[in-house]
Amino acid sequence: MSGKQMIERVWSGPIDLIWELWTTAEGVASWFGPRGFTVEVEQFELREGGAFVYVMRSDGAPADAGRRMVSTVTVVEPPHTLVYESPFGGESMTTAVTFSEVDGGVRMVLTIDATKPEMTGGATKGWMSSLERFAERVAQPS
Amino acid sequence: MDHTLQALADPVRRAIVEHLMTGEQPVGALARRLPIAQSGVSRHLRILKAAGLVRVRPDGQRRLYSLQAAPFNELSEWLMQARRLWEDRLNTFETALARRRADHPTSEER
Repeated sequence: MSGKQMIERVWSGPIDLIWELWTTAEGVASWFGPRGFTVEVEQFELREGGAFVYVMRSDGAPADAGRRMVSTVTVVEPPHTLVYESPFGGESMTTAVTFSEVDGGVRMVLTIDATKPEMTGGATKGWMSSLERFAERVAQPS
Repeated sequence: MDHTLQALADPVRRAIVEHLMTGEQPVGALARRLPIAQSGVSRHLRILKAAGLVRVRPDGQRRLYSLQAAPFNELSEWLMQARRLWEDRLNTFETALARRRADHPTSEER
């Protein structure tokens, strides 16, 4: 684990279907919950400034138990780019996903970074990468 | 966790943590390597200490600051969890995508 949180995958499938699964309430609900969790998407407004609201609940938990996450969509460029911001430890975090057609399918690149971009030697960057560096260098096997 | 993130949200405090990675240091040595006055460094060190990220011990006339491993372990664990969560989600995505393609084959797949 180094640098920014970035995950890359290549999927076989039409880009429009992949985009639909990522950007509609029904599509997102079909995969967003990790194993053992159910996600209910309350709102997904696919436009700049739109709300993306979901509740994540562990399977078997009562209907009123669960965590509601409220994010704001900031970039929508169908079927290639989706960016949204979520609250994160008193700050906010940016999740960006891009899709491009490549040989053999669609390449997805997902990046997660804390916002509040700052100027560092002329370059703007988030601070998630420093968090990771700290964690790598300071954390000790416990 | 929130305290750790809030304390590290400030670029000067991140620079202090960066310098402390090389070992324990007195406030004067930190101030010489940072573009702010010693009083400012002291203030940031107090915030880092309150958040549990640094500790201080006396050494004669001086006070030496060093990093505490525990909150960084927690941070590391959290980052790994965030990554695992997404890896897990993307595996589920792959299954959902395969299911949708089987249900609704596109014209070239038919």
